[in-house]
Amino acid sequence: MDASTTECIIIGAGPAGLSAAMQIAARGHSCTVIEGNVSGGHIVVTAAIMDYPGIETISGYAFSAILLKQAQSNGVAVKTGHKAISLIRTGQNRYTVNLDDGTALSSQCVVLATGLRSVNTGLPEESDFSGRGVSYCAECDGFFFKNKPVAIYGKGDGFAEAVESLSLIGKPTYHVYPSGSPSADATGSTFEGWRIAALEGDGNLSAIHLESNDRKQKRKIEVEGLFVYMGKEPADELLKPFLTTDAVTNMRPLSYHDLARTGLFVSGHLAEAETLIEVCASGVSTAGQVSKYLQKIEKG
Amino acid sequence: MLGTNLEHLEQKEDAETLVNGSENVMISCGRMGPMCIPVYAAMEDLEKEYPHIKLVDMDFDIPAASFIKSLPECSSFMGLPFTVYFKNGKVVEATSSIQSKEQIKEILDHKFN
Repeated sequence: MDASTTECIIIGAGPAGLSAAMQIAARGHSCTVIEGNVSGGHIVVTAAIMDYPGIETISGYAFSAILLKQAQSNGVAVKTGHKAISLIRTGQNRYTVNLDDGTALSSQCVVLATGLRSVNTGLPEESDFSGRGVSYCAECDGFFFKNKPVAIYGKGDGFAEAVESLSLIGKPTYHVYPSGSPSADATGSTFEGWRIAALEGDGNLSAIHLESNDRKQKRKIEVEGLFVYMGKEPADELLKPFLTTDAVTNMRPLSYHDLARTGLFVSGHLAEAETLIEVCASGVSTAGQVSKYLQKIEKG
Repeated sequence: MLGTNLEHLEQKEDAETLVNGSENVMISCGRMGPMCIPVYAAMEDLEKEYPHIKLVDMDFDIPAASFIKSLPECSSFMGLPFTVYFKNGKVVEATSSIQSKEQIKEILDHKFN
C-alpha cells in the first residue's frame, strides 16, 4: 500500500474516532484518522470528567491528549487540520476520502465518527463579530459586558446557565428564541418565535435586527453583546449520501448495519451514543466490527 | 499557570524579552475555558509544523497579562482568548475569541512566511 492508502480511514478525532483507531491498530490493521480541527472533539473543553470508570477526575483537555497519545502509540496516523470534504465509494471494499488540501486517501473501509457540531446564527457576518460582541460562552466572556445591553439567542446546551449568569451582568438583557409562534412579552425583552436576521456594528457589535418567524414584524435592538446558544446538531454531511441508493450495489441501505456490510461504519454520536462512556464504547465496538470486516476481506 | 503543554509566559519582562528577541511569536492569553482551550490545542498541534515560530500561552488573570491586554490592537476585544502575533517585536495580527486550527494556520502562513 502506498502512503495514501490504508486499511481503514476514520473521519473524526473525537473520543469515538480515537477509541476506534487505537483498537483497530491494536488488532494489527493500518489506520489513519482525519480531523478538520484539533483532536478531542467537544470533550476537549470539558473542565472535569468525573464519571468515567476507573478515573476519579480528569480535564477534557488531558483526557483528549491521552487518547491521542494512545492512538499514536499504537501506530495510528492522525492528520488534524485536514477536513474531509467528500467520501466516495469507488468499488467493492474501496473508499476514497478527498481532503480540503486537494489530496485524497483511499481505504478498504471507513469509520464515520464526526460527532456533533455547534450551531450558530447562520449569518455570514457572525464571524466578523466573534470576539467583538458575539460570544458563545457567558461564563468566559460575560465580564466584558458589565452593565451593557446584551441578548441571548437560542435554547441550546447551557442556555439556562447563560441566562442566569448574564442577568447578573448585562443591563438590560434580551432573550430571543427562534422556535415557537411569534410573540413579544409586555416588557419587550423576550422574543419567542423570532430570529436574528442581521447583525450591525462598526467593528464591534452595536445592534441586532430581529424578524418574527411569520416575517410580519421586525425590530432593531441596540446591544453590545450577543450570546449564541443554538445547541448542537449531527455533523452528518458525509453520511447522508449513503443513506440513499448505493452507486455500486444499487441497493438502498435500511440501517447502519447495512452500511457496515459495505465497509462504512458509523460510530459515536452519529450512532446515537450520548455520554462520554457510551461514545468511547461505541468506538471500541466499531473497532471490533472493522477488524472482522477486514479479516473477511483478507480471506476473500 | 495554564494547564497546557505549551510554554507559559508568567512575567512581563519575559514576554518583552521573547517578543523583542524573536522574529516570530504567537501569544494566546486566556483561561482554561471552552473558547480558549481549542486555541491552545491547535497551537500544540502546530508547534512541530512551525518550528520558526514561538507559540506560547499566558494566563489572562496574572499581572503580566497587562502586556497583552494593554495593546491598542486588543482595546476593542470582548472575547477570550486574546491572541497576538508579533514579527520582529511588532504586532502583525491579533484575534479575539475562539479560532479554529485552520484560521490560525492561515495567519501563521500569511504573516510569518
